[in-house]
Amino acid sequence: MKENIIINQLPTRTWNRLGVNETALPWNIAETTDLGSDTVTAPQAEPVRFDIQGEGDYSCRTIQIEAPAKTSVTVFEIFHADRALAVDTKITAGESSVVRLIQISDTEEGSTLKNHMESDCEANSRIELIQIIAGKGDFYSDSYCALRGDGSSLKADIGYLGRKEQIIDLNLVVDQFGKKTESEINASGALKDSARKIFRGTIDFKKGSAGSVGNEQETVLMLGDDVSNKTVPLILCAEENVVGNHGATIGSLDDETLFYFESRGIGKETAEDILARAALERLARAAGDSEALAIVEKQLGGTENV
Amino acid sequence: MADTKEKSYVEDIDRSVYDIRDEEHDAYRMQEGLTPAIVDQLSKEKNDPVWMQQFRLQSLQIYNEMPLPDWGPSIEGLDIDHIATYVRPNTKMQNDWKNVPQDIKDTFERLGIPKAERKSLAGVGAQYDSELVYHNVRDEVAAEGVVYTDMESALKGEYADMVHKYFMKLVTPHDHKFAALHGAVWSGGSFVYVPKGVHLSIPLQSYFRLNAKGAGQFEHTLIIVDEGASLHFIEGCSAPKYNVANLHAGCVELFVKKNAHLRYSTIENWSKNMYNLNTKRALVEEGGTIEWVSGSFGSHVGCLYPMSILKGDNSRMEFTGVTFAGAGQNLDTGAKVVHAGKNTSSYMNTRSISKSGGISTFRSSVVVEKNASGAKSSVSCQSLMLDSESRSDTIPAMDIRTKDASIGHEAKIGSISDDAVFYLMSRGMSEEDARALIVSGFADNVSKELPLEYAVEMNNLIRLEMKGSIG
Repeated sequence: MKENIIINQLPTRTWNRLGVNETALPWNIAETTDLGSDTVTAPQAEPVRFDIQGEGDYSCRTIQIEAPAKTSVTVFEIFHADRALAVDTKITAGESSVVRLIQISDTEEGSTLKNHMESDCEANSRIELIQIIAGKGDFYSDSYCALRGDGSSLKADIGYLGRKEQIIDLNLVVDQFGKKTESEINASGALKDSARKIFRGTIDFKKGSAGSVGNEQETVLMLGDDVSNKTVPLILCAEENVVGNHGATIGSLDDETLFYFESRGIGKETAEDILARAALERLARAAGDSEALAIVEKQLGGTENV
Repeated sequence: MADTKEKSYVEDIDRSVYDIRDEEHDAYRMQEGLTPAIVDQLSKEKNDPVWMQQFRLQSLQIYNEMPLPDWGPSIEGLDIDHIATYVRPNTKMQNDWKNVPQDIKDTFERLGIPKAERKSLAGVGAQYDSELVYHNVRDEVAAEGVVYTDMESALKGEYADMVHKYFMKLVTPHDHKFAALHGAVWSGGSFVYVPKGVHLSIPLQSYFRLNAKGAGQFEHTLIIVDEGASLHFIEGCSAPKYNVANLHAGCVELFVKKNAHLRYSTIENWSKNMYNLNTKRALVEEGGTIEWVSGSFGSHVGCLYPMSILKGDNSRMEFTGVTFAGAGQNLDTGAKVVHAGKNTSSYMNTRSISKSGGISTFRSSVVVEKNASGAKSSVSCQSLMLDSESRSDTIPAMDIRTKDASIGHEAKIGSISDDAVFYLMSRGMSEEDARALIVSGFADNVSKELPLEYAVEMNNLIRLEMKGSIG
C-alpha cells in the first residue's frame, strides 16, 4: 500500500500556501525491493561507475563513499528506471580529501526517481556534486552537506530539462559549521510543455563559521505555455563574519540573447532548443566522461526532439 | 577575512520619548480574554450595526477553528487570555488638540504629531489605545471631496455602504488566525476616500499609540483611492514598554483604482514587549501604483508582509523596507506580490540589520499567475550582521506560472566592511560615528523615500541604535 513519505523539507518553513515547505511523495515501502548496498573507499585510480537499474514497481539501492584523509575518488551514479527507484548515497570526506559525485538520470517517462544524498566533510575536504537531470521521469532529490571541518567546501552544479508532465523537485541544504568553509551552488535548466520544477537551495552559516562564503545562483528558462517554476533560495546566518549571496533569474529568452542568435541566422525555436540543451551538455562535458555525454545526447535526441 | 575581530559595543536605543507611560484612567477596559460574550460586549460598547455584530462573532468562530501558523517566529509568550482587547480612553474623539485630555495631548506632543500636522500634513488621526482621540483634516482638502475620518464614524455615517462593501473583503477573516482575531475585536483606525482625479500634494497621517498595559490594539485602516487620484498616507506607531505582552493585530486594506497612485509609509516603533502581527494588503487595478515604504524598528516579535495584488493590466508595486532588530527582538518582515494582470511590475528593495542578539528575517513571495504575461519582478534584499550573537535569515520564494515573465532576485548578507570603517576613521571620524554612518547609508533606500521630517526621525533612530562605547 502506498503511503506519503515526506521529503525535501525546507530547513525553516514559510507560507504553506506556496507549497514549498516539503513534498509528500507516494511510495510503497512494504513492497520496495532492496537492491543492496555498495561501499566505495578512496583512493581509486579510476572513476567508479554504478549503473543503477530499478527492479519491480519499487526498488532502492544504497551507496556509501568513504574518502579517508588525503585521498580522492570520482563516482558516477547513473539512474535507469522505468518505474520507482530510490537511491541513497552517503559520503564521508576525510581531512583534505576530494570526492566527486556525478549523478545522471537516464529515466523513462512515467518513472519516479527518489535521490537522497548526505555528506559530511572534515577539514579542507571538498565535495564536487554534479547532477544531470536528463531523464524524462519525475526526479526528486534531497541533498545535504555538512561542512564541519575548517576550510571544507562544496561545489554543486545542477542541470535539468523538464518536459511534458515531468516533475523536478529538488532540495539542497548546506550547513556551514567550520571556519573558512565555502559553498557554491549553481542550478540551471529549462522547462518545456507542462513541466513543473521546484528548487530549494539553502546555505546555512552556523555560529562559528567565521570567514565562510556561500554563493547560490539559479537560472531558469521558461519555454512552455503551461510550465510552473518555484524557486526558494535561502540564506540562514548566525555568524557575523561571513559573506552570502544568492541570485535567481527566471524567464523566457531575453531580447538581447535572441538578437544574438538571430543575427547569426538562428531562429527563436532553434535558439531555445540550443539553450535548453546547453545546461545539460555543459555539465556532461564538465563531468569529463564520454558515456555521460552519450546518455545526455540519447535522452535529448536531436535538436528537433528536445 | 580575519577569524576574530575587535568588537564594538553598541547600545540599545534611548527610547525615553516613546517609553513615557500615562496613568491609566480609562473610561472602559474590557476584561481580559476572548469569548463570544466579550466580543458581543465589545460590539454593544461600540454600538455596531447588526451586520458588524454578526461579522465579529463569525470571525471569532473562525479564529477558534484556525491553528496557529506553523512557520515564522515563536509567539509562545502571547496569551490571548491575558490580553484586554478593548480599552477606551476617557475622552471622545476631538478635532481640536485643545480639547484632548492634557496627558494624552502631551504624549502626542512629545511624539511630534501636532507639530507635524501644522507643518506638513493634510490631515491627522491619532488613536490612543482602542479609540481615536483626535481626527482632523484641512478644510481645503475636505473641500476637494477627500474623506478622512475614523472607522466608527464611517461605519455608521454617510459612508456606511462603502464601508460595508469593502470592509475585510481584501483581507478576509479566513486569511489567517490573526486576521480572524482582527475581524472579531477590531476598533479604531481610519477611513480614507480620495475622489476621482484628486491629487493630494501633502500626506495624511494616522498615529497609533498603545498606552494600556496588557492590552491589544486592533485598528482598521481602509483607504480607497479612486480613478486617477493620488495619495501619500503615513502611519506611525509606538508604545511604552511593559513587562507583560501587548498585542497589535491591525489590518490595512488599500484599494487603488484605475490609474490611481498610493504611497503607504510606515515607521513602526512599538515597544519591545509588543507582538506586532499586522496584516496589510493592496488591490491595484489597471494602471494603478502602490508604493510601500516601511521602517520596522520596534516590537518584541513582528510579522509584517504587506501584500500587493496586481489585478489590473499595467499595474505596479514598489516595496522599500528597512528592519532593525536589536536585543530581544525577532522581526520577520518582507513583502508579498501576486501578478494577476498583464504587463505588471513589482520591485522590492529591502535592508535588514541585526545586532545584540536580534533576529531579522526577510521573507517574501512573488507569485506570477498563468495569465500574467509580460510580468516583471525584481527583488533585492541585503542584510547586515553587526555581531555573531544575532541572526539574519533570508527566505524568499518565487512561484512563476507563465513563460512570458522576467523575474530577478538577488540577496546578500554580510558585515560592516573593515575597510570602509578604516576609510572613514582615516578622515577623522570616530569608529562609532563611522559605523553609524555606514548603517545609515545602508538604510538610505528607505530614508530617501520618506518626507524629510520622517527621514530625519528615522536616521535619528538608527543613530541612537548605533550609539555606544567602543571596546
